[in-house]
Amino acid sequence: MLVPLLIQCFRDPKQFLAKASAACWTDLLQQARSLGLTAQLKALFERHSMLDELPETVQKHCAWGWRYYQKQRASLFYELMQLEPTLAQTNYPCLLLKGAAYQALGLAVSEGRLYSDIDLLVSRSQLADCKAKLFFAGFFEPAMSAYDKHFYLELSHENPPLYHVKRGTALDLHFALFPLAGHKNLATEQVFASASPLEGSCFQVPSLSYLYIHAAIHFFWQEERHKLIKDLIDLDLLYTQLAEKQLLQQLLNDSEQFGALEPVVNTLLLVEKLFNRKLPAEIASQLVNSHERRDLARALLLRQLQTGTIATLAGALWYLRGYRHKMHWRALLRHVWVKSSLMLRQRRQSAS
Amino acid sequence: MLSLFALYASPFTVQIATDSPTLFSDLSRLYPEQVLRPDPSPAHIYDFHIDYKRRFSGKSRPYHFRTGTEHFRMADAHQLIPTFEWGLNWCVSAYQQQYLAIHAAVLEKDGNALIMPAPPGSGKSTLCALLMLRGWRLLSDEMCLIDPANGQLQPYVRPVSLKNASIDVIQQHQPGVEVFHRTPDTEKGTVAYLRPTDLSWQQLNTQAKPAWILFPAYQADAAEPVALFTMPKADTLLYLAQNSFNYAVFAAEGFNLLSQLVENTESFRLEYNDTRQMLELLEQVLC
Repeated sequence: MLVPLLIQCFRDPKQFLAKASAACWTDLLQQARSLGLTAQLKALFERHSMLDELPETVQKHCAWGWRYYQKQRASLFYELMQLEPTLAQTNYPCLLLKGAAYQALGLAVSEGRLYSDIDLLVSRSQLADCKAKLFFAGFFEPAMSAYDKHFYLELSHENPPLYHVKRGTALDLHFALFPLAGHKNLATEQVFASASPLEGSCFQVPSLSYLYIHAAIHFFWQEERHKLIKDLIDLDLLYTQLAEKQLLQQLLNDSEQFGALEPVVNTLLLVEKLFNRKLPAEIASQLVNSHERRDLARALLLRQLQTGTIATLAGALWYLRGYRHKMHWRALLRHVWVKSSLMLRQRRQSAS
Repeated sequence: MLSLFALYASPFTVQIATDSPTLFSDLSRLYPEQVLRPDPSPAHIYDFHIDYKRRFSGKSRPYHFRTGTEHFRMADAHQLIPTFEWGLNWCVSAYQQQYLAIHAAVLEKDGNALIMPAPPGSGKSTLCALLMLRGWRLLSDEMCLIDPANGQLQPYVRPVSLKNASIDVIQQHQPGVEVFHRTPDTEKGTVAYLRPTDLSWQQLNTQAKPAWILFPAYQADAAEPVALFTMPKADTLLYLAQNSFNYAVFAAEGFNLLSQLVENTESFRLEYNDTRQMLELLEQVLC
């Protein structure tokens, strides 16, 4: 199996350096830039204390990426500081998710990681109150059709994106970790129970294992293809930290309790295979015997990382499979029916 | 057939994969041999890999300019050169963070560099081309690169792009000058290219000390044929910041670099409608 260059590099950067030709580096830099991973490469080389050994051009690109990342990180912290006074008025927990949480906790996965919006999680019963507070702080919700709004609030897992009227910041306000239309019956209250406060802040962050679970469900139960490699690298870095802190058993327990053992089991197997990670024996044996193994889905995923017709075909199947997870077939049928009848009505109106 | 070649336009090197049978020979009229090389070196790490290939896209604009998975735009076969030049500018302005980059032309004479930031239509490219043809060394007609290590200007020598009326102005002023790849009906109207002078290519990696910042403004109905005003330094700084590609990324360092730049240079606004008189006045004041 041909492992993508970026994964080879994150798997063992020293071995990569020992073997890589100039053409290999050119490709690696190009792929890293396309996925916004240049600064994460720099952080990786720094963690392995090998930045000085790299070819000059690679060092230069690492510096380019790092400069851009520093700007992004400063903007993220600035934005969180702006949100503090507003959300400090709440008497319910507001959790940072994904990139903002990684950054606030200073996890290895946050080093050099770019972000495009801020993800927050509040309980569904507090959504209206939280939104009202954000409106007063200058956030707005762009106009959309009644059905689209219904889709967000009843079928997805988040409010429509909010934007700040002056700063343009995009804010995704979640009330669940996964679309409700997927009918997965996930125990969102467990995410709140796992959370701990950030010192000196009104925000809370989910535990490390829930951060992994969140990344795993968005990776394994979705249809997108363009950032699979980036997501795998995130999962590997989160996994490494869980392993260091001996939290892998906790991860399996939490994911079972939450209702998302399947994505966790399968992403751990993928991380083990692609990044050559050695899982502790007791974890490995649980994965081998797990009923949640999805060998076909993992094979589809691995196929997609290659090139050629079979990879494209695997991607198409992955797409269909991902939709099936995100939307229960009844919800999907209804969604397609409503969307197409709305479109038809619009066409008729514009024709007349 | 797919061909692979390389462009060593210092300080950035690029590898290009294309199936156009003419791209290399078209570019060889604009770039000298030491810059445009037929075979990429297996021992060199390139800053960018560009794919410029024919892909199905309906009836027109079959060539797609991409770097990695990032798509820039599509081009008709007869607009290959302008789209290539714009695409390369896009790669550099979007991704390089080594230099503080400002949208401006830069030339040098006797060790002193002139920076000309100006909006399209101000006559910046025309003036840049004219000064180059009068013996000034071209650093760039598009991108002023400030090296944060020393505050000096890094050349990025590339063909000078002329648009619409400026093509005729240059040919009138400098009869016999060779204008390449005149391409009508592009998004920016008719564009054509001048090859940088030998002096500019020879010193393609020699940095220059910034001395003047000049804002040209061609005004057809001006009362005076040419008028030069001193610009307040604060205004100059703000204008440069607004016209920078990566000022925000450089944050405090960007502000310090620009402050230092305007502190150590003189800034002028130049209004003119008579090109000959304007050039005379300019060289008199600056040299």
